[in-house]
Amino acid sequence: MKFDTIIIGGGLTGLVSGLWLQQQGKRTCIVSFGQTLLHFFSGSLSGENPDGEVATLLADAGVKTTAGGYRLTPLGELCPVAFTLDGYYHSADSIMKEQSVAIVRLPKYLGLPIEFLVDSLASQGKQVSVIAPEAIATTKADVILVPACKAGNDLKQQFGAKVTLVAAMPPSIPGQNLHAQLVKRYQQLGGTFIQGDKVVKSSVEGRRVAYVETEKLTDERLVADNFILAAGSFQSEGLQSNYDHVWEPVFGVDVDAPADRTQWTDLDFFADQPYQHYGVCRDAQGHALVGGSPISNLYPAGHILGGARTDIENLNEALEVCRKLV
Amino acid sequence: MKNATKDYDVIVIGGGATGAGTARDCAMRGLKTLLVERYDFTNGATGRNHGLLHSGARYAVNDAESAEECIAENMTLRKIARHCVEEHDGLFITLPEDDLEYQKTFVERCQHAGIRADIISPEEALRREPAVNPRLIGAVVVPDGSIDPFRLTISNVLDAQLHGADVLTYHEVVSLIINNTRVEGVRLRNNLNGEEIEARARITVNAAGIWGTLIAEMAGCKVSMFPAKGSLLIFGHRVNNMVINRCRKPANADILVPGDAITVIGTTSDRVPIETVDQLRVTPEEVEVLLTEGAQLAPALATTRVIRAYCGVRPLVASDDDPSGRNISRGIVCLDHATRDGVEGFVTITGGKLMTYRLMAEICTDMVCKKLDVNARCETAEKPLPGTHGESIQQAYNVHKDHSPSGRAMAGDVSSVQRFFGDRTYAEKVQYGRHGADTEKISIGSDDKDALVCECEQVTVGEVEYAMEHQMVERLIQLRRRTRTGMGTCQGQLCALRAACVLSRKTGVEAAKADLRKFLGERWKGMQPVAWGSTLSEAQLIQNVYRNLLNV
Repeated sequence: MKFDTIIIGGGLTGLVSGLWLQQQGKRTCIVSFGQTLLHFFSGSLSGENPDGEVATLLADAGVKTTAGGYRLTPLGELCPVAFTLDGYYHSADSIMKEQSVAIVRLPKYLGLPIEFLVDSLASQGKQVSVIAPEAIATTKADVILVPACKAGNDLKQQFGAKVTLVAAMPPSIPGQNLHAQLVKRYQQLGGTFIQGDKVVKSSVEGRRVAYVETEKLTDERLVADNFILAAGSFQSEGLQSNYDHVWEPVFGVDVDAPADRTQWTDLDFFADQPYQHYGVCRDAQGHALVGGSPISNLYPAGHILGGARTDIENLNEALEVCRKLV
Repeated sequence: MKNATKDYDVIVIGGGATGAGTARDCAMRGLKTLLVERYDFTNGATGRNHGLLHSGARYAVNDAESAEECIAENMTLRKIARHCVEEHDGLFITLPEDDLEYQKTFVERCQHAGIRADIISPEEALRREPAVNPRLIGAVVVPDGSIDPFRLTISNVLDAQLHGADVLTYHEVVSLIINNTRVEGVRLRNNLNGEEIEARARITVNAAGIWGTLIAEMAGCKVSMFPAKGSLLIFGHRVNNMVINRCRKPANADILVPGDAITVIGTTSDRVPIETVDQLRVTPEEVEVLLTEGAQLAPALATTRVIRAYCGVRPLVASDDDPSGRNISRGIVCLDHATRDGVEGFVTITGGKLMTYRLMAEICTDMVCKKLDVNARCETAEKPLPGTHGESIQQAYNVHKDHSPSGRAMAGDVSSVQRFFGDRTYAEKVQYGRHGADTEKISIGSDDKDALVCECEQVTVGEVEYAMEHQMVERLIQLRRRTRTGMGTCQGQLCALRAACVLSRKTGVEAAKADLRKFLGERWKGMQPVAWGSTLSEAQLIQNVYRNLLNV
C-alpha cells in the first residue's frame, strides 16, 4: 500500500495530524497499537490558545468544546485548561459559581474519590450531597456530577444537560468516545486507520524511510513519501527501556537519555522525574536523527519528543510538521 | 506525662514475628501483657525477607542446630498457621559448575537433622518444576514452602489480644524506666501525635530485632549485633511453583520463592553500620547480582518483569569477624540481663529467624515465667492461630485423597475443591487465602461491600472495613500488610486512591490524603531501583494519572 504520509501512533497527536493532512487532500494511513493517553483523559486539553487550529479540527469532527476556563479535577480542585469537552464540568472562573452540588454514587464503583471530592467542595463553601442514581430525577442541586465512566456516561445519555460529567480514574469512557469520534471523521475523510497493529520493521534507504511493515499485515509493505512518528512515550511503548538503555523501537531514532539508569529517576515520587523529559532527537527542520544524522522524511511528534509540553503545544507542533508535508 | 492505666507483668518491645509471638505466648500463660511497636507490625526483618517456610535444609550442612529447629517449627506452623502457609516443597538443584559431591553430604546432613530429602532425577525435577534451569545435573526435594509473614504476625497479635494482651502501635520506646538496677517499664512516644506516656511492668522484653541493640543500650547493656543487609527482588508473576535453591554452600541470591501471585529472589548479604539501618535502599549492584544469579535458578527470570526491590536487616548476634555474616549462626539468643549484666527485670530475645519465631517466643516466655515464678505450660505449638480453625482447603483435598483408590488425588478432579468453596465469589476465595476461617467476618452481598478496592489482589470494601475493625488498620501501609492491597503489578496506582477514600471514612480526609502521598512515595521507593522496561512504563502511567489527571 502506498500513501503520501504514514503516521505511526493513533493517539491524539496522530489523529489530529491525520485529520489535518486528509483535509488538505493527502492520502494518509495511521497505524495504531491500541491504548492511547485518551484512555486517561481528563475531559480537557492543557495549554493556551484555545481558539486555534486544534479546536477547529475537533469541531469539524463534531467534537464540541468550550474554550478557556477551568476543569474540575476528581479531587475537587479547579485547574486552568485550553478547552473542555462539552458535557464535562467547566467553569469560566477559578471559583465554582454553583452553590449546591450533588454527586452521584454509582453502585460498586470506586473510580471517583467521592470522600475527597465532597471534602474539597465543602471546604469551598458548597452544599454537597451524595445521591444514588435513582435520585437524579428529583434532585434540585445547581449541578449534579456523575463520574466519566461507563455507567456515568450512560446517565449522561439518559439525563442530558441535567447531569454533568466529572473526570474519574481511568479508563475514561468519554476519552474513548472522543477517540472513536476522531477515528470516524478521519475515515470519512478517506484516511486509512489500522487499529490494533504495530509497526515492527522499517526499511531505510539513502537516509529515507522507504516503507514499514506491521505485525499483522505480514505480506504488506506500507510505503509513503513521509512518516510521522507519534507513538508516544514509555507508557505507550513509543520509547522502550531495559536495565542499560533507552531506545526507540521502530526506527532506532536517537534518544536523548543517559545510559546510566540511576539517572533516569528521582528518589522522590512527586519530583519532576528525569525520564519524563527523555525523547527522540531531531534536527532544526524536525527530521528524526539516527546515528546523529537526519532521516529526510521521518518526523517525530507528540509525547515521543519528551519534555513537559502542554497538549496544545504538542498538537500545534505536530501541525507545524504537517504543513511541511503539503 | 500520662501513665498507662494498668501495671503489666510484661511489656514486649517490637512488633515483628518474635515480639508478636512472645506477646501471644505470655498472654496465653496468663500474664498481663503489653506489646509496643514504634510503627506498624512487621516493619523490620519480619516483613523484609523471602517469606520462605524453611525446611532447614539450607542450614543442614553448616548449622545442624538451626536445621533441626527449622524443620520442627516448619511442621508446627503447617498446623497452627495453616492460612499463612503454602505447602509446595522445594528443590535443591546442582548445576554443572557446582560440585555434585556436595549433594551427597547435603542429603546425609538433612536426614541427620530429620529433614526429608529425596534425590530425584533432573528429568523428574523438570517435570515437577518446569521453570527450573534445564542445565541441572542433580536435584533434591525437601519440605520447603512459603509463609506470609504479615498474616502470621497479625494472627499472633490478634491471638494475644484475644488472651487479654494490650497492643500499642506507633509507640516508640524513648527510654527505659530504671530504678536502681531494675528496669520497671518504658517511656513511649506516640509517633503519630508526639504524646509521651509511661507503661510499667515487672519484666520488659526486648524483641526489637536489629534495633534491640539500641534498646539494650538504654539499660546500659551491650548486645553486639551484626547488621546484615539482605536485598530481594519481586517478579511480576509466579514463575515457579516450588522453592528453588542451589545445592551448594549458601551464597548470594540462591533462593527463589513463589508466594501468592509472585516470585521472590534473594538475598544478598552485606554488613552495614547500625546507624544506617533505617535508611537502606537497594543498590544497582545488588540488583545486578540478584538478576544474574536468579537466572541460574530459573532462566525465565531474565525476561520476567521485576516489579519491586526491597531490603531488610538480619538481627544476627555477632560472634566473630566474618565480614559477610553468612557463617554466623542463625541460633537463638535469649539473654537474662540480671545474670549477664546485673540489670533486673530485663530480657533480650534475638538472633534466630522468622521460621523459629515461635520457638524464640517460647524460650523467652519460659525465662519470663521463671523470673516471675509463674508455672504455666507453653501451648503455642498446639493451639492454632486465629483464622486456622475449621476445615481447610487442604483437608477437603485430603479427604478426597484418602478415598481415591490410589491414595492420590487425580489431576483435574475438582469436586472436593468445589465442595469446599461452593458458590463463593472469586474475591471470597482469594480472601479465604488471606484470612482463613476469619473470612466469615467480612461483609458481603451488597454493592457497597463487594466493590473492589484492589483488582490485582481482589480486595473488597468489605475486607477493608474488616481490616479497619479487627486488624488495627487506619493507614494504607497497614492495609497493604493485612490484605495485600497495592502489592500487585500496578503497585498501588489505582487501588491506593480507592483505599484511601474508604480509610478516610474512619480517619478523616486530611489524614487520608497525607497517608496517600506517603504510601505512593513508599511504593516508589521499591520501584525506583528496578525502574526500566514495563516497570518504568507503569511508573510513568502512575505519575501521569496523579500529576495530570488528579493534579496532585
